[in-house]
Amino acid sequence: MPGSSTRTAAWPQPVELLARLLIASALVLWLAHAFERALVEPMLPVFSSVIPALDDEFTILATDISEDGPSKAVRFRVNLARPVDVGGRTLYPFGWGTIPAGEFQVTITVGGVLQYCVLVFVLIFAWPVLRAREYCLRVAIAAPLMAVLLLVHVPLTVLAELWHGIRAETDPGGLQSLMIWSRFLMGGGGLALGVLFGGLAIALAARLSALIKHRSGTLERKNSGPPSEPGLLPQRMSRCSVGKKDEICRIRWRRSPGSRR
Amino acid sequence: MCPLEIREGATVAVDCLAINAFIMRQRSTARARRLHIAVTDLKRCLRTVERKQARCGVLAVIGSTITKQVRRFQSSMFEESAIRSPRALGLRAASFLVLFAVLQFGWQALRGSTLERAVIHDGTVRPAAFLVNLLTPATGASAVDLTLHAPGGGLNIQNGCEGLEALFILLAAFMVAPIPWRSRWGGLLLGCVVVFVINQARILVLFYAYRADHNLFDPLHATVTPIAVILLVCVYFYAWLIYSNRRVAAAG
Repeated sequence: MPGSSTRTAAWPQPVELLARLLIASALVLWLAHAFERALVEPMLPVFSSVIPALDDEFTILATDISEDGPSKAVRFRVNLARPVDVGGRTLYPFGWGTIPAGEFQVTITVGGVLQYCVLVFVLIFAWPVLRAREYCLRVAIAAPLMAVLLLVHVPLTVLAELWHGIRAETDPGGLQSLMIWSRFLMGGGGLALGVLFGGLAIALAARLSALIKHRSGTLERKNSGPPSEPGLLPQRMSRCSVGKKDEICRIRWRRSPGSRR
Repeated sequence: MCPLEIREGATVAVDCLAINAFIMRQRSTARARRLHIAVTDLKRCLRTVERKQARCGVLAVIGSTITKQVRRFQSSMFEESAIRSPRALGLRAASFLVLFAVLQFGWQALRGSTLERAVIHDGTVRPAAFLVNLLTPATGASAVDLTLHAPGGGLNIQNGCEGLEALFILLAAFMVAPIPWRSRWGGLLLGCVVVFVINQARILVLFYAYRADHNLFDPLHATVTPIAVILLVCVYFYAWLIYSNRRVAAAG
């Protein structure tokens, strides 16, 4: 309705939502597949600096995108930064003293890196908008959420796999909290977070868009609060004309037929 | 909070001031008008009851008409406050994640157990082999342990490929959704069937894709099918919410 200041887009019919999701999925998946290298490559230095910051036992030797046939994978070459004690045993880095040179390698498919972000993008583009600017707002809100999603996924998965390999030899029965987190993400937790973040971006963008419209003075509605006596119902809401920022819109009250003073 | 207080079978108390305040708090005219219509209908029914009460000189028992109006009003109130309130939404989202995590960790703890084998072998691999043989009898697929075996290429179905993560997401979503319990269980039961069908379709797609072109398998397996499964489950959940809301409204 034209008179509302914070209205949101109507909730779509399930069939309409399905059609929208199909179109958005096809588009986003195609774009992600076509530009996966270009999208992931700039993230590699960030991952390389975040992993040692999260766990200084490891040092990143190199990070690159390896291509094995059609599938591309982000490859982390890692070594221990110093000798570490695990399960009563000391583990030395490759190339330490007489220990031969070497490295740990962890690979994550590029599709796997982008998976949760793709889901967020599909959701925020599939859900209907009331104003076109909502798409921009959704992307702006989703961007930090996706960054969080990427950071809790990739570096922690790499660390989980590294510790899993080390502890499998030194302390096979030990509880590995990082591995639990990694398994949670891979077991659908990442997708669940993606759906939640997508929904959050949609909801926040709708509110923000309405707030921007309200602030810009296109429409301002200030109610004087409910009337003090019972039995009064809103007759109609007046609409402020465009540009009159200081005008106060009020609900006109009429007495309901059955009410008594 | 709903400003309507109902003591069924005794009195109907409607706090008009609270209702008006509630309407005023609604930020959109459309929402306020919808509520206004609901309140008007409700008041009309209340007046009828009052008149009957005056004639008979006894305390009126709430009839089906008034109960319907009250329920409709409560339903609209519930929709407005419980679904759209950021705090309620946040709580539901947190509960959803916690519930999903509990289910997920529980399933991870069952790795290697008889139950896991039953779910994967009997509940996933065998139906998939049956469907493959039904669609393409010449393939000669068979369920061997946790593998969909076939000459020319088969699939290993592991923990995580049986579609339970989608079911857990659906279960957690239904548990925190603001719908009546009866509708919740109905949605869950049908949801189990929906997830099973979607997952079987996913396995068939992966099976035939692998046999047709190995290059197709990785992108389908790593990116496309997990997202497709989760989106289809979301659509099912959304459709059930809409259906449930309509049923509640139609019932009164």
